[in-house]
Amino acid sequence: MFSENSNKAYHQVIAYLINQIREQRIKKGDKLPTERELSVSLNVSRASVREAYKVFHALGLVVNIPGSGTYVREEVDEWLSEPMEIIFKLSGIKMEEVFEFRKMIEVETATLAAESITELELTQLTECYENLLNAESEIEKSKYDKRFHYIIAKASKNHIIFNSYNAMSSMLEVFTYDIRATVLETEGEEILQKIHDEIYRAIMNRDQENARKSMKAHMNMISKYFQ
Amino acid sequence: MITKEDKPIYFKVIEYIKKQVESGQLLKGDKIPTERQLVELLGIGRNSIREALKVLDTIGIVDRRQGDGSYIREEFYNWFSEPMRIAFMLSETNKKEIFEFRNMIEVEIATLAAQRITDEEIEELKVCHDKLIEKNEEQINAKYDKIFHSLLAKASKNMIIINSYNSMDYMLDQFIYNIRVDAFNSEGRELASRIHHEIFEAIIHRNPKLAREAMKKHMDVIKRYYN
Repeated sequence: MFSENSNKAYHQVIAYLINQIREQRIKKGDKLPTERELSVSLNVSRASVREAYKVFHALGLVVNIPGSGTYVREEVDEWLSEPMEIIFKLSGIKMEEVFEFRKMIEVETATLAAESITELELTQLTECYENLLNAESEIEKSKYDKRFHYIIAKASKNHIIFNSYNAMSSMLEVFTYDIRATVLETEGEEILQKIHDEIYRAIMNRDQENARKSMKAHMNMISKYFQ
Repeated sequence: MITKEDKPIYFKVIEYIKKQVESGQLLKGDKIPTERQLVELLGIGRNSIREALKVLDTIGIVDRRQGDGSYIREEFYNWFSEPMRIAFMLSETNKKEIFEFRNMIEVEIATLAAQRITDEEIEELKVCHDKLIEKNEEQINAKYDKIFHSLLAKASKNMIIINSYNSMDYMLDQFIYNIRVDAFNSEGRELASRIHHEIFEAIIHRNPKLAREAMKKHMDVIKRYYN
């Protein structure tokens, strides 16, 4: 995507910015240099800097605050979400692939979450779980089901897990709804409820062993529908 | 600190394309409406249209062909590893997280690779394996070690795995090198060669069970030394 070897000036600006990020000289929440500053220091046109900033903006990595400047987004879950949605739809990634990946990471993720979840995250999980129980439509339930797993991914404190999870976010919406619909048809509401209940309780009790077991059961349940 | 965001006009074009993709009206390889058509459709200026198309081209969603208009790209295979890499960098991912993630996926990757590897990929793996077990400088061995695992990820045929794995590759150089050095100091040079050889044999013989076991042993070694 971004070619360091490109002779286009704005590609070079992009490569420079990525390197600054890699070296942690640019971090979350930081203000990027102004167009003028960067064009002077890199000896490129302001238009080239503007192009580069537009690309980062379209990727959801930075925001423009009028009168203030361009900043790297603080909220990691905002990163990349728009283009990802488009790409997932276009690339034809299948549900099987999403599930294959989830199977690999969810069990350990739940275990890590049980170990590292913060008080605030526990509150969020509780709220989400209650919303899941009380929601009336399947559309709403799916939304909370997805969020439930998202909070657990976040609570794992593993950024690779969390970012990967985010990247799949739009696929997970469809996935969750479809799987729930299938399970509801074949096995009924109770099992769905029971599964999330077990996971929830395990994490609430910071019980790694049961978090592992219950998430494994969850994944095994879904597995049946992908045979 | 971050208050109201400024959404540039050209975002409207991105929104439009996203909607068309989501509804299935725009597919891989399809031609996008011309600049003139977009001006009429969206009621925004030609400059904004051009800006948007240029950004989408750089990001890799659109292919602008001189004299022929703009097309949705055909291939998204490796698309999101680059933006995910930036997200990982911004997240300041550490060694522990790398280990945790690899621990979750490598065993499964080896299993899938043993099931799905093509003849061509086996040839590629052979070349890499031969380099890996030569008596080279550790910097070189570490490089081929990384490539070895990357090839396995590719052989898994799962796009999410391939992209996630590639996104973290910039962190693997140091990670792998350090572990190899520590492992040698404690257990001798032969260890790494033996471990990779076992995995290699299992995979080229398309034996998922053995591949799994061999990779588990590998992960155990990493566990001992990644800190």
